[in-house]
Amino acid sequence: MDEFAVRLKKLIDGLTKVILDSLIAEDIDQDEAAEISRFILERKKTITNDSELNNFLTELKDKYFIFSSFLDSFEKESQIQKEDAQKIEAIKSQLLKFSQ
Amino acid sequence: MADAQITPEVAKGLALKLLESPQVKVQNLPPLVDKAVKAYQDGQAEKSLQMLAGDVCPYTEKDVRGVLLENLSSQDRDPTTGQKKEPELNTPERDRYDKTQKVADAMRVYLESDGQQIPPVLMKELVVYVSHMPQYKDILYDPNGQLRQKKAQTIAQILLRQPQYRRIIHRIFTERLDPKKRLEHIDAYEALKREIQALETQIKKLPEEVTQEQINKAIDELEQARQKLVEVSGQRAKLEILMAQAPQLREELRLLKAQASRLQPNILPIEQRIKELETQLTTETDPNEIQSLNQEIQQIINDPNYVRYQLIKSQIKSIDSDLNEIESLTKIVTEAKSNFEQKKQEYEELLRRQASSQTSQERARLEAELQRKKLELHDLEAQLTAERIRYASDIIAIPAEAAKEFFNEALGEAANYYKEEAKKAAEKEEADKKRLEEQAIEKLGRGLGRKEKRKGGERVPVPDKKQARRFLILLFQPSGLQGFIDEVAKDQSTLKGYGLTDEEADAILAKKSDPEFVKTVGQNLAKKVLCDYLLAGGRLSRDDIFGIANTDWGKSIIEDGLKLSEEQKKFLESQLGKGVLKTLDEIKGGKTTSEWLRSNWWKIAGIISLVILFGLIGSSVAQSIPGIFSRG
Repeated sequence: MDEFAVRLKKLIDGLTKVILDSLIAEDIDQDEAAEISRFILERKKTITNDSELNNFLTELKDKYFIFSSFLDSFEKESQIQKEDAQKIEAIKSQLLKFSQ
Repeated sequence: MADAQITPEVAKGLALKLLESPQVKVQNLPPLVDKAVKAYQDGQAEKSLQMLAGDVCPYTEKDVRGVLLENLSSQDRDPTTGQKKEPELNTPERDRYDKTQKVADAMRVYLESDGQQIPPVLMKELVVYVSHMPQYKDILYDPNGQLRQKKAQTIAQILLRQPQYRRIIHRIFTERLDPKKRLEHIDAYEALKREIQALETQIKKLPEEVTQEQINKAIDELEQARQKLVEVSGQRAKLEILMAQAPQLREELRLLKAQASRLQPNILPIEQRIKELETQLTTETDPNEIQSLNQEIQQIINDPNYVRYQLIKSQIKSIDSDLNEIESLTKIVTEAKSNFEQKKQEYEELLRRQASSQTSQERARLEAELQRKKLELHDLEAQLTAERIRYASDIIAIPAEAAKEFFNEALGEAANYYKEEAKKAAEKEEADKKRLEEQAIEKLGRGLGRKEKRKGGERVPVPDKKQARRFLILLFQPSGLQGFIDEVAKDQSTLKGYGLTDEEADAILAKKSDPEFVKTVGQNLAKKVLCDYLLAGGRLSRDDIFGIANTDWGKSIIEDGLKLSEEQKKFLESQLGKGVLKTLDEIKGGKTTSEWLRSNWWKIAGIISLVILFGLIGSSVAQSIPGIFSRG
C-alpha cells in the first residue's frame, strides 16, 4: 500500500470509529449512521489524490458535525507529517551538499 | 528548539494518540451496531461502514441458522454443541423451519451480494406479493384472469433492484434475525420446566403414604395377635402360679439334688446289681433260679436307701418338669404378648401417620402445585408454539413487508409531493394572505381523503379508500376540479371538518371561485387524493381510467410521468419492457389519450402506479427521497 492509500485507510478507520462512538453515545441514530456511511463509501470511491481528499474532508466537516474534532486532529497530523517530510528532505539535500 | 523536539516519530505518536482514543466500548447495542462494532474491532472498518450503510448483510449463514433453530425448534439441545436440534421430520414445525430457513437464506444471499444475486425463493415470495397488489391487478392479469407471470417477475425484479428496497429488507432482516433474539416466553418456559423437575424429585422423596389397605391389614394382624393372646391366657394363669412357686421349687430341687448326691455312692452298686440280675434273668430258664433272682431283685429294690433315692429322683423329675413348663409357658406367653405389642404398635403408627396426615397433606399440596405448574407449562407451550409460528411468518413475510413499506413510502412521498405543490401554489398569493392560505391548504392536504387513526396515543391521518373514492367520483364528474373544490369548500363547517380554523376556512371560501386557485391548488389536491386512493389499496376501473383521461388533472399526472428525462426513460424501458413506455410514447406521439385508452384502458391503472413509483418519484422527488429511483 502506498502512503496515500495508508492515509486513506487510516481516515476511514477513524471516521468509522467516530460513527460508532456517536451511535453508542446516541448522538446520531441508525438512519443517520446509514446515511453518513453511504456518503463516505460513495465518496471514497472517487478519491484518488490529496486534493480530492481535502475536498472530501471539507465536505464531511460541513455536512456532519460529529467529525469536526476528529478531522481537526487528522488534518493537524497530516500537516505535521508534511512539515516533517519537508524538513527531512531539506536535511538530506544539505547532507548531500556536504558530502559533495 | 521546538523543531528539534517534534521529530516525525514524535509527531506520529502524538497524532496517533489523538486519533486512536480508547477502543469502542461495547455495551448492550442494537444488533446491527453490535456487528458493526465487532467488524471494526476486527480491523474491518470498511465492512463496518458497509454494514451500517445497509450494503452488507451483518449475519453469517451460521448466525442465521442458529437464530432460526433457537426460535423455531422445540427440540432439546445437542449436549456437545449446545445448539438446538432440528425439528423432527414430517412435522408442521419442520415444514415451517425449512421454509423459513430457505427464505432467510435467500435474503442473506441477496443482501450479501449487495442485491446482485436474486435467489428464486426471494423472487417467488415477491411475485406472490406483487400479484396480490390491487394496483397491479390490471396489468398482471389478462382479461381471462390469468396471471402474467413474466410481468409480475419484472415488477418484482425492479423492486429487488431498488437500493431503497434492499435497505428496507436489510433493516427488517437485521432486526428479526438478530442472533441474540429469543422468543418472549422461552425463559419463563425453561424456568417452569426446571421447577416441575424439582417438584417431581421432591414428591418422589416423600415417605410412603398410609393407605386404607395397609390400615386394614394391620387391623387383621392385630386381631390375630390378640386372639393368640386370648388363647394363651389360661397358660398365663398357670404360668403365674408356677412362677409364684418357682423359688420354692428351685430350693426344693437344690435340696433334693444334694440328697441324691449323698445317696449316689450307695445307690450305684445297687443299680449295678439290679442290672446284672436283670441280665441273668433274660438268659435264665430254670424257674427256680428265676424266682430266686426275682426275689433278690425285689429285696434290693426294697432297700430303704434305694427306695428313698428313687423317691428323690421322682421328686427332682417333677420339679424339673414344672420348671421346664415355666420356661415353655414363659416363651409362649412372651411371644404372644410381644407379637401383640408389635402389631399394636404398627397399627398405632399407621393410625398416627394417617391421623397426622402430614405426608399426604404435603404430597397433596405438592401434587396440586405440580398439576398447576404443568397446566401453566402447557399454556406456555401453546404460547411458544404460537410465537414460533409468528416468528416464522415474520421472517417469511420480510420480502412482502419490505415491498409494502417501499410502496407506502413511494406513494406517500408522491402524495406529499402534490400536497407541497398545492402549498407552493398558494405561496404565489398576496403576502398578507399567504400564511393563512398556506396553513389552510396544508391542513386540507393532510385531511382530504384520509381518516384519523390512533397510533401510540397519537391521532394520525391515514389514507382512507372510501373517502378518497368519494372525491375521485366527484373529480370524474363533468364539473371536474371546480365541483371538487366546491364540495371540499362547501361551507365553513365542511372546511372546519378537515381541521381548519374559521379564519383559514374563510380564506379558502374567498378563493374557491378563483379559476387560477381551482386549477393549481385543486389539481394538486386531486393528484394527492389519487395517490391516497392507490395507497389505501384502491383500484381503478375502466370508467375511472376514462374519467382520469378526460380530466386536466388526470392528463397532468400522466404528463408528469412523460416528463421523465431521456436517460430515466431508457432505464425504465430496460426495466419494465418496451411495452409500457411504448404506450406512453403513443400518448406523447400524437394519439389522443382517449383514443389510446379505448384499447388499453386495463393497463393504465398499473401504469399510473408505476409512473408514480418509478417515474415521477424518480424525476421530481428524487432529491427528497434518495435511492427510491435508481439504476439499481
